Amino acid sequence: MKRHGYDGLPAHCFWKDSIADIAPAEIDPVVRTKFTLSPQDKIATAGSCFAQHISNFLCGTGFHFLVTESAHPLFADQAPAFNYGVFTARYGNVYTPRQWLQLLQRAYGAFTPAESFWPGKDGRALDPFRPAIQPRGFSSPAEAEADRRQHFAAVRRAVEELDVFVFTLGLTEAWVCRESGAVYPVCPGVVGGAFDESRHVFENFGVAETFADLNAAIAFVRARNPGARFILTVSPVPLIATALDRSALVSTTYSKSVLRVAAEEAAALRNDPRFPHAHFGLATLGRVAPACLAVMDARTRYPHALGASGRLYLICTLARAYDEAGDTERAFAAAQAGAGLRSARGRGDAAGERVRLVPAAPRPLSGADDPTDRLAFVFGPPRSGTTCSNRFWRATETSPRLARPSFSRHLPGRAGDG
Amino acid sequence: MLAAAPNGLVLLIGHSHVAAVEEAWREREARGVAPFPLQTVSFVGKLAGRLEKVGGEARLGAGLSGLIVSALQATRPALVVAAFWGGQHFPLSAANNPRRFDFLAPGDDTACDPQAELAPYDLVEAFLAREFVDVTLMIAAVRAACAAPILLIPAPPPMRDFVALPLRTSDRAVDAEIDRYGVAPPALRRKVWRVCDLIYKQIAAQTGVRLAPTAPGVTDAEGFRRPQFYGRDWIHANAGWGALVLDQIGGALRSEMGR
Repeated sequence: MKRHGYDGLPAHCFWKDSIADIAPAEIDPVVRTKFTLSPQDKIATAGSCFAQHISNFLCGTGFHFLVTESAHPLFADQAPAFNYGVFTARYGNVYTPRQWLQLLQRAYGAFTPAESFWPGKDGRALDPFRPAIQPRGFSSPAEAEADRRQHFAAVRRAVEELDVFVFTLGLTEAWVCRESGAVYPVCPGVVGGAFDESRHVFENFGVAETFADLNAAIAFVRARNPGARFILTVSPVPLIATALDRSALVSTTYSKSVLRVAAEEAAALRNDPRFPHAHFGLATLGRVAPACLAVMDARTRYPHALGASGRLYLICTLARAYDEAGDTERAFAAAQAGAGLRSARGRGDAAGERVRLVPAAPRPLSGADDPTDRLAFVFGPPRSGTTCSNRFWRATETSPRLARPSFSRHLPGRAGDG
Repeated sequence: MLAAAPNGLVLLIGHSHVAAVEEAWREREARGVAPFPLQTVSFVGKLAGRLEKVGGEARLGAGLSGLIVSALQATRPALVVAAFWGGQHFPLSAANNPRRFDFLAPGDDTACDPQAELAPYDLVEAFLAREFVDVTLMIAAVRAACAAPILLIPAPPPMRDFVALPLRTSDRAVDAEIDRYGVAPPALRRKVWRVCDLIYKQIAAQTGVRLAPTAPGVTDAEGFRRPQFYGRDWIHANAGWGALVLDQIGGALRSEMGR
């Protein structure tokens, strides 16, 4: 019986134990993660200037940093000055969620800003939405236009191919085109273009707008890549300047606070049972929301929408999720379907690959009856199929993301346990 | 600093494009109509160690700078005609690259190769400009050794179609690339050559030397070299081109002597 709400909480819940009494280098606020990254995951990055450190880290630690807009190898030496490889595509710094959302929309033709290009010296042209992407801008408006087409294609490839999207939120302050609502990464007139108060307006986004933009961007990606997972980070870099008549410190504090809260709420939303999207990484997220189970269940009924690898992964993930939820019947149905699919793939049997997982009719999973809130134990006497199940899981452990369930790991009262 | 000898001699110095000009001069000399006395120093076969890195800075190799100085000392020319390099465009635009690329040059409305990726013009120019570092250094070496004016001769324009010239590019590595990946589109050759031509112009402006523009009539309406100026291989022009350059040299010499 707990004496109070903090009784028995782990050390990381207490400031003194996890922060104050710990050497600075030893502090680790990451208690758990919703999912883990494998070297095979294609990781895309975008965001403020700080986001490039994430790209560099990914490159230097053996992860698969997805680059869909790389420099031609002939010109690799000078490519960094042209912002190749800094992020997944050459979008430059994307400071606000609104800018991120508009970038995605522009890449798919869903949004067209009023200003296309800014004129530069000697007939050159600057892209208002990535004005520093090349040291001297583009050699002509025609080149800028052609490069943008190629860039948008690279953005689309990134959206559709990525496994994980790391977005670093940088700012809430932005300059916006009055006419179209397009958000500039940099105030017109700073790097290029001409500032015009009648056309350019300042905005300082609040929590609600930032949250809405984040969700819209995530939904936009998920609509084209249902398996996409997201990591949201907030840049620790302070504002270079604030457009408000107050200390840059105050504006920085406001901005970072808003971004942190919006990111937190967006991340929390992904766990909301009402959230309609499911993705392949659910099994690594820990507890699986019941509605997500239902969605995954539904997706497996339409296997033609997925490739064989995707179906196998989905089925195995689903089996694991049902196992964790205590629905052994469906877990074994999924396991059986997965084994059939693997076997068919091994035989090169295309017809056999089109297996369908049709478990028993789903029961309502909500409210107090939510089985995901209860521990599930799957065990049995010798010769009852547990070893066979274990072998299946070993055999299907094709990806580091797919953890093999340990049927006895939650058993209480094992010898030696207190 | 060497002063010019009174004989109005022209020193033609440089790499392989020297040959076509020299051949044109010899033809005229054989007919007794040589326009001016000419001495030729070709760097072909003497390219080893052309550049040295000293403290991270590129310098002309001692062998090459020594060759330039000794040629100037021996001839004391009234005009130095520099045909330094002139093949920088070729490795980039003779063979298809396995990852095909193209670019949009300012003022050039040629459509891009639809199968190619677009490279930024500035990146292409920066890449090619690096290949011209020693052209600037060679001009500086000439400048340091003698007071004679310098006329810079850029590379002849590219051919549209590679005909069955037995020597092909005269570069085994480039020929192997062509065998493997095919010949690059003519438009790319023309674009890359134009960038190189622009860089020659920039170098001339920066160093204050005179530049001989591509002689009228050498190119067709689309900017490719006319077939009557094709040389022994895909890159070099013939003595017909050399004769037009000789006329440009004569004009420059008269202009300089008249000062």
